[in-house]
Amino acid sequence: MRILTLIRQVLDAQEGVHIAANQIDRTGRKLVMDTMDEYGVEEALRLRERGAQAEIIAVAVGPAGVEEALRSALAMGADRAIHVEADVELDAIALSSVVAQIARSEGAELILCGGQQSDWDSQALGAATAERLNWPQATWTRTLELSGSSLSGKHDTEYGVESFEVQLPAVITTQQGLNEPRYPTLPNIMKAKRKQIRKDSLEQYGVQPKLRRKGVVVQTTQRLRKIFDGKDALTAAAQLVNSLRNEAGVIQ
Amino acid sequence: MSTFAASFTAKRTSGGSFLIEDLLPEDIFTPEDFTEEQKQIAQTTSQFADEQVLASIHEIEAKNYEVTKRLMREAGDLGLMSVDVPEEYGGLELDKVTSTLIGDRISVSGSFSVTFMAHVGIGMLPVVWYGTSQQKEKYLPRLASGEWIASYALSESSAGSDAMNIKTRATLSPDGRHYILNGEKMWISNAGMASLFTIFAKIDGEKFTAFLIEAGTPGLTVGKEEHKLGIRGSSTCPLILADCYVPVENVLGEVGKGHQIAFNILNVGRYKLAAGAIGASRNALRDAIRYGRERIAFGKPITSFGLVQEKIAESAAGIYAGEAVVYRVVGAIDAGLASVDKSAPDYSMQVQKAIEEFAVECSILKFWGSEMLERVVDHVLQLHGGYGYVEEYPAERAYRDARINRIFEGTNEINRLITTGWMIKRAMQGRLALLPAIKKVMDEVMAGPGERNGFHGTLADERALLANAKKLGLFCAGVASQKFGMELADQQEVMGMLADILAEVLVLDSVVLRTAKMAGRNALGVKLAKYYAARSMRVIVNAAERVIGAVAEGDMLRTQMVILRRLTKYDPINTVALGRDIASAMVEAGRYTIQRSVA
Amino acid sequence: MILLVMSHSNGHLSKASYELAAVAERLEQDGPRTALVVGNGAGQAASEAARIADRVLVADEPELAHYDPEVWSAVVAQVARETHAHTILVSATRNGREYSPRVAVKLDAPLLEDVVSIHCDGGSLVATRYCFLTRVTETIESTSPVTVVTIKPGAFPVATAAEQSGEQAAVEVVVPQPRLKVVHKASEATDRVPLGEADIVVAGGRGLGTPQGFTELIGGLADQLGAAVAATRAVVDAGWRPYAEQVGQTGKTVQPKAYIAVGISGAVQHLSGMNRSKVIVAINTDPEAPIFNVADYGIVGDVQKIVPAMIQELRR
Repeated sequence: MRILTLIRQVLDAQEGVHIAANQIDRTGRKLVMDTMDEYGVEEALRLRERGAQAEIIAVAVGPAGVEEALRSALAMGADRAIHVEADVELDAIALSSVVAQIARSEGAELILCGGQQSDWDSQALGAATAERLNWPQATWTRTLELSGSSLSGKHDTEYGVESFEVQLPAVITTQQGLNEPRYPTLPNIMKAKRKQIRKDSLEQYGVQPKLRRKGVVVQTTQRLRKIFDGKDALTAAAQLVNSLRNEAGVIQ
Repeated sequence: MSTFAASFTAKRTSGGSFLIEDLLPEDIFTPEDFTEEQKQIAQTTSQFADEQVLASIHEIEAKNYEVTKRLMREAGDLGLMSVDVPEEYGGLELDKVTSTLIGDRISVSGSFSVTFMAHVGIGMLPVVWYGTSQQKEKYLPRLASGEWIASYALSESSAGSDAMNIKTRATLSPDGRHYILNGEKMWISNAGMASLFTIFAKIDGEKFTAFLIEAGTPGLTVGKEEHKLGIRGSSTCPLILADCYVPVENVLGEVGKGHQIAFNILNVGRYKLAAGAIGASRNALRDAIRYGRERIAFGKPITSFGLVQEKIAESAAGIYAGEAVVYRVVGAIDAGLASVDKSAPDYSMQVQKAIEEFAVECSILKFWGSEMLERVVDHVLQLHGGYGYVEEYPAERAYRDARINRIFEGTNEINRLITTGWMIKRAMQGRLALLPAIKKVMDEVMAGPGERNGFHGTLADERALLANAKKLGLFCAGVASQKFGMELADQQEVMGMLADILAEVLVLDSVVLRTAKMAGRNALGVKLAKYYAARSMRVIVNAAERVIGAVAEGDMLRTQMVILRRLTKYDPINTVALGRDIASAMVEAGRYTIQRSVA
Repeated sequence: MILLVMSHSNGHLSKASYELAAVAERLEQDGPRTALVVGNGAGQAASEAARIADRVLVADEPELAHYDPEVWSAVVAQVARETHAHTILVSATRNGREYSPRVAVKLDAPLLEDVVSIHCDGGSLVATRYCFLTRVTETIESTSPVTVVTIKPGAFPVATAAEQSGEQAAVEVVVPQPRLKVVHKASEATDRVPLGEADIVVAGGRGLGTPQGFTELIGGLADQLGAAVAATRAVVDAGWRPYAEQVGQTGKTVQPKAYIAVGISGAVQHLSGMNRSKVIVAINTDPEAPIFNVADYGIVGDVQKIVPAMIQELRR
């Protein structure tokens, strides 16, 4: 069976967010595979280690630098990769068209992707891809098992945790806690050198994005930072309650 | 023939030639030349270090060896300890730059990096280089996996710097099947965790030989843990050998040739120590910036203040220079190794020779690197103010941990003597055309003022400084030799001053070449280079003045001082403005970086 | 025509539905505003919806008793097509964000996700939303004839229910067979104010020490303030509190008037769930905790002493 794991490359969590040329500045910044996607790659590897006969294909759409993230996926253990070279950024709905076409042409049966993107905070990619393929979806997955062609697991919903079962083919989106992504070992890093990264161009996929980003602004809320010394709990508590009542006006 | 070739191989050079030769930027290996695989390996190492090692730092420092051993096994699982091990024993057999990069990135904890480096370096390399195939088969896989930890026991209570003076004796048993060892070893790293020891003894009080001894062998006792100023999580114990029977099969290398092992191992340990110093410096600077951004004084984060920015800039420049010089030297070693056939029967010897070629550079890396780290951890502690003095913050631990680096792997005093001593020795042996170079410079400077700076471009001033620094180094070596002749080796203070000049020449040369190789693509790199060069020249001038003061007097002194001034004529640059720019880039990034657009 | 997809629980419309109505009012577009109620036995919700929209379409079937993303998206898309809706508004709840992309694909429309402001500009819709863990605001535009929009709960005011009700009509929908089989639901009910609707939130982290400590101090303070209770991921993972209370990148995002963070250090993933709160209060023993950088008010001290002192003070 073929498993597709979707990879996006985002700013490292430690990097500050800055604007340059009306865009979020990525030049010279540390870029990494989105941790949400790492959970996907890791889960695919675990499914295989637990017995699934699977070829794991890492897929990414983006500029040349994205190849580094694909190499990480290969170094973790994915078998091969597909890099759709694109210099424009696609919104999740548009991107899902590319993913769905690849899934169809590769005959994939399972797609794993991040529950939310760490940069654009979108949660739509998995669901949109599932719809294009007419597959079911399970989002915010906490645990996953594969038995034959039946997936089972637990996922988070609005009200709590649900146990589910779904038949392949399906889209599963990940979240923190699904697993602990492995570090690429040195032997696997060296092996990954020989693994294939197929290069496609975005034009091959005929995507028509329907959203336009007009601008970005970095939010800096100026906070008051009035911090009281709590050594004398009663005094500090009184000061705080007074501020919240009479200054901020948020309590009675 | 199989060799691991990095995608960029440096030009083949010889040791010590940095003083007399001018390379081109494309001749040296720089951090910008790391391959994709090297970067990924660095990433895995850093993640492991930050997420696993640092997470257990308190356990490690509390001497909870179960935790340290577990981390060593995890490092083994990742392949971090297989890099110098031959493929036939499950190793990866990668290049020395890769192995050095691991030592650099793993260094977030002084205790753990000493455990790791002692295991991978002095612990495992003797077996890799000198082991018989039975010994390698028996021990290497378990050492590479981290299942067993190795320890290297050479020093004794009265034989530290003068290692040849060890007293531990070995005598062949009557039936010729065992050596019986008696003696004591001191300051043995990893002893409390090790399963395998490489122990040096003199057979019949004469033949300096190495022995592989497994933990638990009757007659081998591990003494009590030393309670040290720093690297408290690294095990340091004496060893007591009392009629310890070691099978003759466990002799490592040849009887009577153990000193070869000892000396060759030291070179690797030295450049690895410098790599670890850079890693530790980066880590400490990150802590300082993190603290400084949050700490408010007089209504502003303290990173806005000039005297804080200065410390950040000095630290960053030291790290930049350290990266330049360490990877230049190790890249040069790899260049020498590129043509060595891995399947050759004397492969290990050739590897050692290729490293030994750069013994001078390795010694420089050791003393320069450890002192650079010292400056950084001092700045970092100071930057934390009172919080730098208490255990809740990592600054005090980094400060304590750093101190050992000037002592072990050969004290910095010894390494300075080696630096100058071996340059001279090579000159005498005809391996290094030092004497003609000195003569040329002497003739030139005695002849009168030379041409003006003929350099153009971004780093023109720094390249001119460097050219003059080389001349000054040769000049000082020349006048010191003239004064002391063969007795120069006994003039330790002057030897030390010459070593300082040699070190700064090597480092500045590497900084200029690294920066030039980036060909104007990196404005921040240029600033770091200029900032470092300004400091470097002050060190060189200071040392040169002291040499002249020690070797000359009266008219001779005055003449030499004229020459000194001529060779060090430069306008001071605005280090304040440079420092502020550098600091703001680092503060914005939250850590050391050279990837920032700087105005 | 704007289609507003209502959400309801326990028979009543959620506060988020009233926010959708406010958005629809702001969009100043021609044509009626139609609310869609999907469910089983949702009569009461439909009546409430009739007071915030011009008309209400009700899809009331036994097969619609339980939410499923494939089912909801099919129903919403069908109704959107049949009513020629050009803007489909859905609340950006967990469910909403999960099924709305399917609606967008079905309608070949773009999706404006989790927006905090929106207006018409000529023929296009322009919206702003947060990204980069809420550190950045982006402005995006759709020029498409049909657009699906999910509205961030709490970002808009609520519309007032009108005196008169709009008309209600039942609508026939084709309900697909859901393929995700729910084997077991572990839902955690709370009798406190729901997190997404509270004006004040009292949140606790591992700094509370024990689950009992959490209940006593955080619960006690929340009760005194009539506030909702929230927890960090660490607390939920440790099993002290239910997932429904989790605030942060992988939990809920809230924007109350006041967010009181007790024993929480302030990791960026948690901050992204609450740093749009109007007033942030931090109580922590560690003066260096990052939470103090985003706090309007705070106390550095022992939470075990300070929280009871606050409760006492509030009683006066």
